[in-house]
Amino acid sequence: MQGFDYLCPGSLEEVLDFLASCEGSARPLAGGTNLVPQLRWREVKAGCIEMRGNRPDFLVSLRRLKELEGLSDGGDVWRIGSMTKLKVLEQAHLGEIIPLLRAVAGGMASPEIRNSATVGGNLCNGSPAADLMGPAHALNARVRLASVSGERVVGVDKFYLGPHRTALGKGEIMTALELPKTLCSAAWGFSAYATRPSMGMTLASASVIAPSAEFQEARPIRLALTLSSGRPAILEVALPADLETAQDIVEGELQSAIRKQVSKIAACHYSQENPQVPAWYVERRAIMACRHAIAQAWSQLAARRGA
Amino acid sequence: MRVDIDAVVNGRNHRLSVVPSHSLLQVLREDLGLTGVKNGCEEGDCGACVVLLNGEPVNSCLVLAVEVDGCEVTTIEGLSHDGELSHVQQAFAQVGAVQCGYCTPGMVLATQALLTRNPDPTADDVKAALVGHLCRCTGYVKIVEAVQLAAEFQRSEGVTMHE
Amino acid sequence: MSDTLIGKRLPMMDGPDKVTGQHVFGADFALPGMLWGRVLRSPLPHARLLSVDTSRADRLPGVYAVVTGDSMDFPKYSVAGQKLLDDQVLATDKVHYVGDEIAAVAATDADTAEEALGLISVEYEELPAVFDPVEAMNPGAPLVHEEFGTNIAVTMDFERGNLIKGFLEAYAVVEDEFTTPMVHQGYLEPQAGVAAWHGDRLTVWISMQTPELARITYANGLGITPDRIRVIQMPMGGAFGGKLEYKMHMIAAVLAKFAGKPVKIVNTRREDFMAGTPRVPMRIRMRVGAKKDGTLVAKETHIIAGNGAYTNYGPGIMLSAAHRHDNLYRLDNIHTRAQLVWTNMAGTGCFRGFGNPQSHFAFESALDMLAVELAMDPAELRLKNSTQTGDLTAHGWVIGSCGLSDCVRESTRIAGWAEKWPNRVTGDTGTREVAAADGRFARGIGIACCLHVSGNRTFLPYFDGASAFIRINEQGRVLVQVGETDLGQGSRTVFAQMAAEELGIPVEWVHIATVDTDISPHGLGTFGDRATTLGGNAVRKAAQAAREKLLAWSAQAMMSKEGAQPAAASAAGGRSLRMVEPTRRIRKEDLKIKDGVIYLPEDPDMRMTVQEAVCQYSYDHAGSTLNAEGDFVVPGVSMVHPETKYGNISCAYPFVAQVAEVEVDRLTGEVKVLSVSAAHDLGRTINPLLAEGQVQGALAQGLGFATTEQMVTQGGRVTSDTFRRYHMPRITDMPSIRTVFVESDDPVGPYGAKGLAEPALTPTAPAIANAVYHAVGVRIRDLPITADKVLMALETKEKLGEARRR
Repeated sequence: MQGFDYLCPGSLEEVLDFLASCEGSARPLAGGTNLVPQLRWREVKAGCIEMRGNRPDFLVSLRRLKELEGLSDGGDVWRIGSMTKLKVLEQAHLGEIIPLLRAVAGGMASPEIRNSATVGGNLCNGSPAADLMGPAHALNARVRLASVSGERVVGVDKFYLGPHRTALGKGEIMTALELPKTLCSAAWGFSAYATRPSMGMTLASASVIAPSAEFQEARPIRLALTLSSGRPAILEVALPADLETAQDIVEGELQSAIRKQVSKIAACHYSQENPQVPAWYVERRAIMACRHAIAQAWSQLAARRGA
Repeated sequence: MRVDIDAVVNGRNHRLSVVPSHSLLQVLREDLGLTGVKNGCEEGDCGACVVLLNGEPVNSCLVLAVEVDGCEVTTIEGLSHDGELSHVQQAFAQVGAVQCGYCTPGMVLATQALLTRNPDPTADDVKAALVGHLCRCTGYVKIVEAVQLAAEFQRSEGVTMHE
Repeated sequence: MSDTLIGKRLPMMDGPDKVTGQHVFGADFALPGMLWGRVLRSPLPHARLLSVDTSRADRLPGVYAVVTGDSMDFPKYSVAGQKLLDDQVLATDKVHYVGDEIAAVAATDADTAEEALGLISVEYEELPAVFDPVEAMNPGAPLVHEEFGTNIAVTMDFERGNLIKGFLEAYAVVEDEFTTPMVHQGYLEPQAGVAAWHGDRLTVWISMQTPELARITYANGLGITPDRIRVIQMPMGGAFGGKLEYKMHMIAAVLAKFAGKPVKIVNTRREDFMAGTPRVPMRIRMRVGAKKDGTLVAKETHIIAGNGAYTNYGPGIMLSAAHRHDNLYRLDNIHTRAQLVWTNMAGTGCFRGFGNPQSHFAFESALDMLAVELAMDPAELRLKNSTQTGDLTAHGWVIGSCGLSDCVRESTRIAGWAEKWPNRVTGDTGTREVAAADGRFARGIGIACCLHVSGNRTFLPYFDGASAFIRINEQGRVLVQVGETDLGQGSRTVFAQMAAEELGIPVEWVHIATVDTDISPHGLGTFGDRATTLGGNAVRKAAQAAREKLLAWSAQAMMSKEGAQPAAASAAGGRSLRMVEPTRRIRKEDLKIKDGVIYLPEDPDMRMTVQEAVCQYSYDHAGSTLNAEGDFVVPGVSMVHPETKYGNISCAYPFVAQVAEVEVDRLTGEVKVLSVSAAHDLGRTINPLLAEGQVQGALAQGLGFATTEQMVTQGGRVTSDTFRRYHMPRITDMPSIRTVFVESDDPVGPYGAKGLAEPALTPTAPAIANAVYHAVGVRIRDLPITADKVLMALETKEKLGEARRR
């Protein structure tokens, strides 16, 4: 038996019904940029023979679910539909509302990939180099999941379990990413280190959200550090007014968190994929990324205070 | 099991019976004989397979053919009209932005899409738009020149690009 | 303003085909009834093949043929002219690298072929493997090919002058070890080919650079005679040396034989990375000495080169690395030892520059080290020692033209060397006088030179030179058949320019055919930078011969026409002329051709178009076209002496100097190349537009070689097998490039032209390495120059500096 069967349902209900009731394995298809290469006959396994990969029996396309695209107002959260293309994150409307995502999206892969790839696909695929993962964690995002049994909302830090592992249950698909409005409009910072300046794989990234409206108020700054090895490390650090001290403090707090992450790097598959970048160097760049992201957020805070 | 799809390819209506696992790249090249669409890597890294899907450039190797039901696809073969080269094609040929020509179809289509969106791109705009396209022959210098020349051609004719 | 086509910025003639997608590449070619082939490759680097069971694959509906090493008698073979016969089309008793071809399938469609691959069962007995050439040289290392008794495939050892005496005269001596990795040509079109049999004759339509060599090699590999093979060269989507003989073509042929139908095979990108022919990696230890005034006195070199599992053009490549760079400067006392070593990796092969990028990285870095020792301007050091026109070098090279000194002067001029270099004085002890020495970003400038050949006689025993056939038809349209292939670099356009120039016709009238070994002259193909110089000379001579014939005929025709009606004179064909006693004698020497019109300068009324002339010729010769040929036998060149490697190997040597400017980020170690100023002595620029494109493209490859490209392997398996993991420069990575062409007007090259495309890549890596040293005082000796290496070196230097201060 070659290949798989394909369905393109017209409504969310149809999709969920099918996923719940189908005999055999089914996978939802969003933008396809991660899934399509995986589905191909050719999958290079450790032994290098190009052989058939693990194919589902059914592929369920989500492309007709227009209700899963775009931005909507969820009261105290902004809701981004899971089928929203990455390029939409760069565009004026969404970009102004959630500038951190705009900054990240602009650097992801190529315009062609961003024309196909989706927010949901990026998060659910769970690649350790998924660029939206860190920012979603910094923004304290939640993931909305739906199945025939109903809906549930899960914090992104509970949703993402590790490289290619999420809390997505059987018969569930992600319908939206929910972001607290107060954090979306906060001062932000982002810095990433990738295997190349563009079209590479992100090895370390720091996403910062600094929610203080009042500069002197030492509200906690949220920093999400991804090291493409495990789950992002979230640090909430109370910061004093002085940036220099702030950076030292954060760095001190970060060192041990980073060390813990870095010690996992050698073991995980990222290292096998990128053995030419030594772990000590990734660690250095991770720390630099944190410093840079914090500095960025800090200068925005200062600007707001000045304004 | 094959799936029937209806798509408009280079302005012509097609009804195709496709295998779900076949990419748009494969179907365009093999079922429709449009070998101007190139296979460079089949993983979305090189841009040689780029086509316009409803006017937007995408890697056709990452799109399953079944997913273009009801869509419009433009390949390099659909750009010149009545044997006349489009501005972009002319510019590329004129300034020496073409050597072996393998990356050219993807580059030209992506450029066409760029100029539709942004008729006066800076060199940085051009590079950001074409970052997904690899070229091993030219070193890219003349490609940037070609895009800017094409923009000039467009402007001097007062043309707004349309499909 | 000259009307000449030589030096004209002419866009590529097949440009319109390429921008409309009409250009059919090897990977696009198809024949009716064609089957799809796929290759089963070894997952292990070294193993005995215990059994290969194809029964389940055979039975799969849609499968027409499954072949293995037992399907027929596969002789041991190697590439054309190569005597180490260590390869077979399909593995028989052993597999020697991850990716080695074991079996192949031909089926009605790609999906079926792939499914069939999965149904082939292979039993292996894994053997110990060795991946590093140095380790492979150790006595206890596993033998890749037991029948040779050693992993050292080739050893070269030669001396010139008196090395000991040379070093005794040295004021400064530097010694170090440099390494260059395996890198991949990265052509966008993967390896592809279609094979079909007609009776016992094989035809292959393949993307490949050397059709005639393919004919020879594939005959050897298949155990048939070359006359039974027809190679039709398809347009290539890039090659850069990576598309010489390739086993996959023979596998397609075998499948086609067994299936009784044409078979097409196209590599996936991953297969190409895994089983291509990457650049020969080298470890080069070099010791160079100079007098106090900078005069080079002695050089000792040891090269260990990785052959991979099968001998490809490794021996020729290693030889080029062993001796070419020595001819860049006046250097008499040399000793070089080089060893080519088998390992359980893919057989390494040609990549633009051959062995020169590797050797020049070492040599030009070492020269920079010498310049530091001597506190001398590195550009001055090069000028002091530069080879000059008319030199006879220590290796016996006769330098017919040399613009090296001009290249050094020009490249440094346009780079602003005089202002930028003296701002830093760097020394190994770390003493620096630098403005803003503690700044995060440090700028530096570095220079490197290189030379190359224009065709060469070092490893192919057959011949060198080129020949061309030319045919002019009654519409005045010219067809030229050459033995050199267009790889996409535009040789067809350059040849057309030369032919049109000689014939005095518009360049659009000329068509250069792609190579078909049944019809074309049996040239060696395009590699070794031979196309313009050798192929060009042949085209030029053929066109001159055609012109002679045309003018001789036209002179006759014009004299006969003297008495004819004026109306008849303008007719394009077929009207018989009244034979009248001519009133004057017209000799062919008196006639000129311009814009397709043959005329007598002193009497513009005496004219006829080329079409008219050829038309009449054709009718008078029973419909024949006006044919001519030209062959170019390279003068003054001989095969190198087998042991000493002495001999003038090429008729023309191009020279290059490149200056790179970099900015090093001390915090991250990242090296940003700001600009490259390149001066190329190519003898004469036939087409500046295409020449610029060659330099820019080569620089991009040089940039990759220097800073980002490296084939990463783990247990012999290539893990950097996608463009995501194998980092080739992208449009956003390019520095600003300034090019100058120095025209030294070679006496042998056509219109004075020498090669260009290959050497443009060679000096880039050492220029960048030297610029990094200039910027921050650290020297990276191991390509690519990555940020982590620079950062590590900077920190080590700082720690050493601190330790010294205490």
